[in-house]
Amino acid sequence: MSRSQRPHDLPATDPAPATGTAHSRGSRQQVRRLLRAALLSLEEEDQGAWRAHVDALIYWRSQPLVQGLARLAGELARAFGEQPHAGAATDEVLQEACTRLSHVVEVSERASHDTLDRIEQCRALLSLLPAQPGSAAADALASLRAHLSEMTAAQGYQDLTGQIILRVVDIVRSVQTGHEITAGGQHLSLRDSRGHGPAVAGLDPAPVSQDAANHLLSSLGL
Amino acid sequence: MDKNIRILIVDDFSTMRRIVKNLLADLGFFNTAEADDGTSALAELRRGPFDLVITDWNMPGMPGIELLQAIRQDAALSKLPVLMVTAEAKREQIIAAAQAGVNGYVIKPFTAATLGDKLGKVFERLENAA
Repeated sequence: MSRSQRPHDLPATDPAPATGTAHSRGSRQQVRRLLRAALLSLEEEDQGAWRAHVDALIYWRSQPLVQGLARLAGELARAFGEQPHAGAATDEVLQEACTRLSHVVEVSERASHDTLDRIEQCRALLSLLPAQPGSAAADALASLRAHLSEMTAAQGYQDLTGQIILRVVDIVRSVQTGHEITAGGQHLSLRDSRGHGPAVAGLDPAPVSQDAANHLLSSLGL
Repeated sequence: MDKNIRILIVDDFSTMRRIVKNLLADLGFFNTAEADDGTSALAELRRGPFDLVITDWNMPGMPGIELLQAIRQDAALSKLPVLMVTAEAKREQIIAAAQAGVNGYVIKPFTAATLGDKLGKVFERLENAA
């Protein structure tokens, strides 16, 4: 029964235990009034009034019990280490988080492509500049092209950050849908051959460097 | 090194496909095609012919390690050189890739010089083996 459905004779404030305070004395007076009114309705065979007064008494009496049960359920859940159920509001917040993170990936992807466009334009402009082979200008142009190549490779940050963000999205969706998560926050599906994405300092073991990978592959005959 | 070889670039991020494609162009390799996961890559390879595959590991759909295994198990593709370019940098993953028959392994983030160096080594070994 909601507050809007509360019987009309119910005390306006929530019932309180009989502690002898002015509040509880007022509640007891209200109960006595309801009981007398219910008795009078019964004697007058007014079934509608009788039912309304009895409903009001039942509602008043059940509130401390309901509240107590809810409190007990919460304490038991905490004692057993259960997490509160993710309600609709939580689902909405998690969905919003996923949408915002996906948006970050899209924005960084567009920015990275824009940078690559500019690098390609610079490379095309460089090809228009005259330079005698072996001259200082030719060396400068070669150096500029090498820098542009490294700038191109450096745009790989978008792939690396994107992989990490999409992994976070995957973890958040797992929380939202209640799929199993390991103690390390790692979704089970990420432990298979699909890969784990870039290592994050403080969370993952330190990644093997390119030099160490080269040595490892050499030792394996590659 | 023959600059006309046909190279398939496999990565789920369009940025990374474009980066690899541009770096290959800087090195003189212009004959490239792209796929965004192992499944679409295999379909592309079977339409072939290709001379080299450069693939990521971590992709939705079929990951790079499974693409590598599928290539090695396919009689028509089994000799195709595969260069893994990936952020997967655990020792056991590198060993797994080697056991699956990878020809080279580049760890992201990488430099243009590293990619060029690894490509050169892949072709050098293949030429020596021929």
